[in-house]
Amino acid sequence: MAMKVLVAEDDKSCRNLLDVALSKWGYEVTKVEDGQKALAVLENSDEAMLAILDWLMPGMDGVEVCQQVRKHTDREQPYLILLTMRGAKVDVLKGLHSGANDYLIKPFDLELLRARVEVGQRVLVLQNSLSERVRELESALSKIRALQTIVPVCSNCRRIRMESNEWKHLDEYLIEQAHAKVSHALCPECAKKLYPEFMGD
Amino acid sequence: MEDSDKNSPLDATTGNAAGLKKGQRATVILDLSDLTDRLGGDRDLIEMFLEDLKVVMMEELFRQLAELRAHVDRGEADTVQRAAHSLKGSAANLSATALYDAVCELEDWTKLRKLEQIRNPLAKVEQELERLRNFVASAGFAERPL
Repeated sequence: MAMKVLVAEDDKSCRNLLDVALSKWGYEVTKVEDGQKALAVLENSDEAMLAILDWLMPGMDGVEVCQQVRKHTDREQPYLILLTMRGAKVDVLKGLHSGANDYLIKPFDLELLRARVEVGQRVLVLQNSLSERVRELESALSKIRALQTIVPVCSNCRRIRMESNEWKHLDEYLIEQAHAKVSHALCPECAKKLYPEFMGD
Repeated sequence: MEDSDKNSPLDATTGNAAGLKKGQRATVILDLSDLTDRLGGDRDLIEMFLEDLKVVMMEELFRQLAELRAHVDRGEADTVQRAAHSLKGSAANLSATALYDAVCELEDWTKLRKLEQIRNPLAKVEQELERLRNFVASAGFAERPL
């Protein structure tokens, strides 16, 4: 599936060029011409995407878009490339401190842009992979916590009281609580008791 | 730059940078070799770009210039500066070197917030934009070999 890229650029010629080039390289492009629309796209996206943001745009500029996006720490973070003619050190620092992942100076070279976009793509893939792993670990952790509680056991039949107040055997408890797979066998003592003719001394 | 490039039919009419002496940068209307280099030599993209330049980009440049003039007439120093900066970016994106240089000079004046002194730099920008338009409109421009 093609990675989604947002292009936020008020210069029509630059916007068209980016659209054509990115589409040619296999990306799914969304184009907007101002910062407000860019922010709306990024906030409403259900997956982390890569965005190429012009600094100087009507309304909200690229730096402000970066700042607003980074406030949402509870969601997947997009990869932001700031595109601008401002090449002074103070501008680069401001751009990066605002939350941009990368900074490209106009007039940009397409091969360099492509390389930088591919870097961003690798970062997003890694980010997605890590997020998935965290979700799996959190799920496993919640199951472990469920097993670490004090378990009420019948002192006679050794059945266990479930959360539903039903009393069940250990194997049923393990299947329900720990999602374990259980196989049934006989321990040596029980085997000797039940089948002495097969167990010998 | 190879010797063959110095006698290229492109040089005299495009103002290509080949053979330019020191200080002649401002006469380069459209630096095709810079444009080709920045577009990675991708023929499809270059052709699309040059085709776009003839109408879409020229309209955009004149629109930006009209906006800039309007801000100057209203005495809006901050917006004049932003408009000049945007126009500079557009010129740079097109490798329109002469126009870019003229806008840089204009932008320097806008930073000083002396709008009363930007008439001449503004006139120069208008002149360079006309030169660019005439060059782009010239017959066979987009069909010349890159």
